[in-house]
Amino acid sequence: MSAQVDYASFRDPSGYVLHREGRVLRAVTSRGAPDYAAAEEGGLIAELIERGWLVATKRLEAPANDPALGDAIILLEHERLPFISYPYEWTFSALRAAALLQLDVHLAALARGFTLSDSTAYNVQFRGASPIFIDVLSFRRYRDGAYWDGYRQFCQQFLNPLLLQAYAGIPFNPWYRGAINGIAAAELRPTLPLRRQLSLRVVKHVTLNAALSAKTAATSAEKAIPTLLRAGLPLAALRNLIGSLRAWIAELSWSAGGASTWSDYEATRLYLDEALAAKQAFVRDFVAATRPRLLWDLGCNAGEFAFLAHDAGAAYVVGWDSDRGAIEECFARAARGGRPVTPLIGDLMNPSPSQGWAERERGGWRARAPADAALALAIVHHLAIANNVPLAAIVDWLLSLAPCGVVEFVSKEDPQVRRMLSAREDIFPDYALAPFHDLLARKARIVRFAELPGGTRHIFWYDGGRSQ
Amino acid sequence: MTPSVDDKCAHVAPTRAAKSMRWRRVRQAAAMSALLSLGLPIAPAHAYLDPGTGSILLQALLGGAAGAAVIARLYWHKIATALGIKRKSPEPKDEVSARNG
Repeated sequence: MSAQVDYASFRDPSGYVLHREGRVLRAVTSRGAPDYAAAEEGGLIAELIERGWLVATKRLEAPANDPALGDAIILLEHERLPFISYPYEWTFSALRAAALLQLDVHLAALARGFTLSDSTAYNVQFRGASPIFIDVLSFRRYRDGAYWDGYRQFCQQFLNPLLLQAYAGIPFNPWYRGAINGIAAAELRPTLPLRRQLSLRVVKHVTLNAALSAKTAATSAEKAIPTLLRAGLPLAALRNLIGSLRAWIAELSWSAGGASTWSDYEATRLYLDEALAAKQAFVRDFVAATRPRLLWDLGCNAGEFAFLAHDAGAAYVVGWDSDRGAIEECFARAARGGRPVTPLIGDLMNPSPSQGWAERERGGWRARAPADAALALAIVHHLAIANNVPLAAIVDWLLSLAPCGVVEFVSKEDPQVRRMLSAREDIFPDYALAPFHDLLARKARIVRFAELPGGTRHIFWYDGGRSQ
Repeated sequence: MTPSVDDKCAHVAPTRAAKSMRWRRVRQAAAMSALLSLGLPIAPAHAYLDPGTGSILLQALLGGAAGAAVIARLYWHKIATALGIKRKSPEPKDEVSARNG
């Protein structure tokens, strides 16, 4: 049996994650075993799983002489999550929910005599719109006076990106995607309006944090560190620090305001109700027949078809869209309904790349594909006409993300496309239904094909066989 | 402005300056031993993540009277100089001239 060590699982020598035949295993080394065993015996692991805060975990018998598990003392199996996403793909509300979970898990751990070894946002994942903590090896027995080792990391990966968007109105995602370890206090500070810089909380956690982390301050303070570590941070002070950050983050908010192009799309769309009904029925039939475990909705907007697909039989839906207002709305809907739909920020023209250590630590879209099925509704004209992508390349790209799906083709006669072409030269002589149909038919079987009422939109159910 | 104790020390008889130095050492030792008497571990044994010097300083400042006192001591010289309570320390200059001479 071959096992693949997860590319992101190398930082903490306490253990590592393995993927074996679709199962997610975690080997715990001699370094991590005492703390894990204590967290298990102390009831912390069971309590957090019971609350739905920690990924379901059970102990396995570690087989002797398994070369893949050379140094494992304890072997664990985790519940397999439907999809791994990264904080730079999350909406503002998602990052805030993840931050609150991180702090709640820490407070619950402290109550049982444990602390967390780090505060990385990559230790939180989503099931629908509910955050879940995934790193069982973060728990360490708390020692009186211990500082919060992950405080700076928490600020960089949770607090600062949230403040950037809530206080400065700058979306954190592009910055976070470029700086995958988060945003430093010194980098955040100049973006904040003066009014915010004067608030005591910003002075403490941003300004002072930046000043004390500056090289000159850090060097001059090195002498004091042994004394400070001996003096210790009282438990009440640690709890207070975590609690005050929690209260602050809970009240942060962001609203798209007039910035959103698509969030009111459902109310203002240009096509007929009958066309919508026909499209819904088509997608419902496709999902009911294929019953995908994981469906990607490309350009999901506020989630209209993502939720419909779940209702029709898709076990889990990941929705991608670059419009922050729409995707924020989609997240709110998924959260309200407790739906297994995870909306993520993603630009179809520039999806998240594989990056981090050796370009494998955080997977890009292709590294996390294929899904079982894809929805590509009303996106082909955006790719082809707004972004000049050749139709053949669009077909190949769709088939690389999922073996089957539904794709909609909007003709030049459609008001939407006419509007897109109104201010530019039409350099797209090949953009037409017949060539698109041929390109798709060359690469996949067209299971069903329909013209939507109104005559300018056509919809295809395609099946490319096994994923490429 | 009334001259501070340190100002006086710099200019009066060496015996008084020496006494003042001795007092300072005693006070420092007392503060240190008070902190040491808490009997806490020097460094966390499990940290694979570098918490960052600045982060420890900030937590100490926000979180504990003892920590804040250590930091106040650390920065007292600079703060006092900035406020004009204390003159810039003449010692380094003296050392250099002593070595050169």
